[in-house]
Amino acid sequence: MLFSSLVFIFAFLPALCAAYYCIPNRTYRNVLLCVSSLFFYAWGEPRYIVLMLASITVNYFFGRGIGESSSEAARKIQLVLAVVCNLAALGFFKYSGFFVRNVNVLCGTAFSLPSLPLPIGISFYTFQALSYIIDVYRKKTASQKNFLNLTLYISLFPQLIAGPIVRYTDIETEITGRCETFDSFINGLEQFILGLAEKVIIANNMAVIADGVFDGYKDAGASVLWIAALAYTFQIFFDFAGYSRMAIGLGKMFGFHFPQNFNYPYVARSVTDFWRRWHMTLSSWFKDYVYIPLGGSRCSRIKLARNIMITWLLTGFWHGAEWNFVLWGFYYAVLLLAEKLITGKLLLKVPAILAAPVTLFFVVVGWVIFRTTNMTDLFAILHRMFTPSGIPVRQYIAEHAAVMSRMFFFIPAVLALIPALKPAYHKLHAHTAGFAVELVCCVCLFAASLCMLVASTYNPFIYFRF
Amino acid sequence: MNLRSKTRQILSLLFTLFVCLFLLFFYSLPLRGQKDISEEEQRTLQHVPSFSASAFLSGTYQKQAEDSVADQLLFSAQIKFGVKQIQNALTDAAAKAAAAQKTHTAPIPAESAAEAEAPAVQPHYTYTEVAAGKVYKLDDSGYLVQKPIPPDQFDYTIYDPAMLRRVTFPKYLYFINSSVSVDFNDMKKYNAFEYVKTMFPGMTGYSELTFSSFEEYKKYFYQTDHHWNYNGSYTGYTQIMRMMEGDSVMLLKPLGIRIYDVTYNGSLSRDNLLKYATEQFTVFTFAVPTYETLINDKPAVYGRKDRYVSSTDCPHNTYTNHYGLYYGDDYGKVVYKFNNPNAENILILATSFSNAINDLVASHYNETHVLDYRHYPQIYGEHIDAQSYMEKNHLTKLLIIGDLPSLGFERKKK
Repeated sequence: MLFSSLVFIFAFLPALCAAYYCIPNRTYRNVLLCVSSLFFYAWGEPRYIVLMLASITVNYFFGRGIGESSSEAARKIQLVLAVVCNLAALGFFKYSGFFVRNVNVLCGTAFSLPSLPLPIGISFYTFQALSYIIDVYRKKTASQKNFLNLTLYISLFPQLIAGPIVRYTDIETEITGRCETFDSFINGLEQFILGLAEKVIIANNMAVIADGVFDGYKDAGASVLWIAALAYTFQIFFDFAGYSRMAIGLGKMFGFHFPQNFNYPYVARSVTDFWRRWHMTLSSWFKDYVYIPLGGSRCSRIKLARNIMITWLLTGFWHGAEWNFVLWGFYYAVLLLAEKLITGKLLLKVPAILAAPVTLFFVVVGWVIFRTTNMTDLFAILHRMFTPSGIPVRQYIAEHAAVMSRMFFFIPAVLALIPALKPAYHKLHAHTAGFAVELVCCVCLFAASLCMLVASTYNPFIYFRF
Repeated sequence: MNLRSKTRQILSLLFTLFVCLFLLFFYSLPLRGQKDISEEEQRTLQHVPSFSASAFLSGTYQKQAEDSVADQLLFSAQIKFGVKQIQNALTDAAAKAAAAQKTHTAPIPAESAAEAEAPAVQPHYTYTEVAAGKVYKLDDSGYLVQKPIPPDQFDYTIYDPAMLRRVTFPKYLYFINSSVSVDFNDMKKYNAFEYVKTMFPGMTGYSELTFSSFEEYKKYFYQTDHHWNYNGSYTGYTQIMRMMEGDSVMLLKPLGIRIYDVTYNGSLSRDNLLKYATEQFTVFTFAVPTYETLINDKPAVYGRKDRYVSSTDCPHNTYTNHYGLYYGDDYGKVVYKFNNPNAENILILATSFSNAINDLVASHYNETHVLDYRHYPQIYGEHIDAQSYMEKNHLTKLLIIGDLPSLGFERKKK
């Protein structure tokens, strides 16, 4: 189930809210959240609920084992086993097809694997489980004795399928001792609506441009491809940030406080800065559990290069089992290395107004790599983006007016990306009249989002094709 | 609690109430009952499904539940219509902005004999998209068309080639060139008919509806519908009969032309809610001998010509599918019985294009069976096997009618 689905908005969420706030007891509330989260997960792929429960069970026992063992060797063995179990499941479901395909190409073999759909959110909940196990091993936190509580941590529906990647330590206390207030509920609901609007009103319209142009990129010239690349840049941000905002909002509605996942990434003044602002929970996960254990940046230049390369190739690979994701990770590794070793200090002296567009340029190119899984298409698109080609923009717009008309949505997209508006929003929020305006805007955005969602189901009988 | 916090609390409560108000769009369902069909989308609506573990495990419950919320929501049709209108307005604005600086190459009038003999400058038409990847306006002609697709971008497996090879009876192919098979800026670009002929080898006869310019296309096709109009379908009928029965065949002649004063949104307009794109609905009238029809083996009237006695009698609802209503809708099997015991019985494999001429063609035969591959398997639980069907029903000729999308499945662009 997606947050932006009508079933979620009209059935799941209202029913859960009503039931949740009718139950006074914390434990029963947690049971309700657990059951609802598992149902939420099963909605998309019922069979994989077994996999998720198995993952929770394995991590519960390893967590307890690590937490309760006094012998360092036993703790280490259990840690290794837990990491192997988690990565094995992730590897099998997400990466086995990729490896088999590549082995077949390289060795001329014809191995085949049953084509299994990817379990929804496996990358997210596996990383959450790993952070829990590693944190218990590092004695940053005690192991969770209550199976229900660990189930709630791993399966909690707001962050289950697309993050933010919540560490156990982030919500450990809230699992058993959170405080739900009407103010935080309203604030959560507002966040949910804003996230929904980002996803439905902006991201979905940007997707029309990006999909329309890139799917038929052979007709498009350089300018149109850049427009599409920019549209995809907005799409991926508002899609993902919108989803994260909805997750954070939903968490608040039930008394949880999830970490922020985005902080105006497209005004970053360097690629390093960009990754401090983009998918912050994933960046910090890789930093804490991969980059720093490898030695971080306090080492020789060669080791630094190695650490960055490993971390970013893994980051790329985490996003998907295709070569373009590996290339995307490599692209960022090279950019980050260049910044760390060559341009880092220079960049600090460049005014933000100049540095930000340059960073954005590299980010946009990065998203083109990220989006295009077919390598032949990828190189063809990149080539066309940097060479004058194709029909003029105006002709392209006329011939693809339905697609390109969505460029109107660049306006709200750009407005929503300006950090300077944030203080104005806070100022507005502080005044009662401003607060009222804010709520009215929220209601309007909710109505607009619902209309767009309903309209997206317009499905005439396709008599017309014949 | 001070006044400020009290006011904020009240505002927050009001906000929650407003949000809950939207939920009533769905939860008012028990009071108003579930809708069965959508006239706007011309389809059956999904009812709220009842839960079963097996349906849930197979995923069908989820799909039905998602569809039911969208379908049964209060004002669902109006919301879809409203959003579509906004999208259409945006598309129009984008097209107009782009067209503002478009260079248009108009035909240059010849001023001298020498110039007159020079090859005429081809008009250049701009395809302006009005519905994503589906429908285009051709300049300011007011015509909605589809974008041309090269004929090699189709897989001609709608009618299994092996199944057609097995047919031992005379078999004929009538190909309809439509805007899908012709680029109006280069009429000779695709030559779809020649390509299609190679995909349907071994036919006894081939013929096509063709046109050499956009001006000629306009004679044969609706302005807002992808089907052929009264003139195009009649031309098709005459060409089909000459192909099958020779030039001496006695053809039915139109008694007259009837123009109905209705605002007809053809399929290209209707399916994309382009309310502004309308035309009049025009037909030829014929004196077709009396006949009986069976629809999916049950006696029934095919087409509602009886409702089109005058402009005031015919339906005036927005988005009425006059083509389907007047000529007849799409069914798995329609059988025409003309009581011509000395004539042959034939089989027609076709889609909605043939609806306009079924009775005309059938009037030359005793029994005519028209099968539509889109519906036949669902009704009869098997795919069409022409040879065995013809043997079983004593049919002696096979006619296939279609444009590119009726003869082949379009391959994905990716």
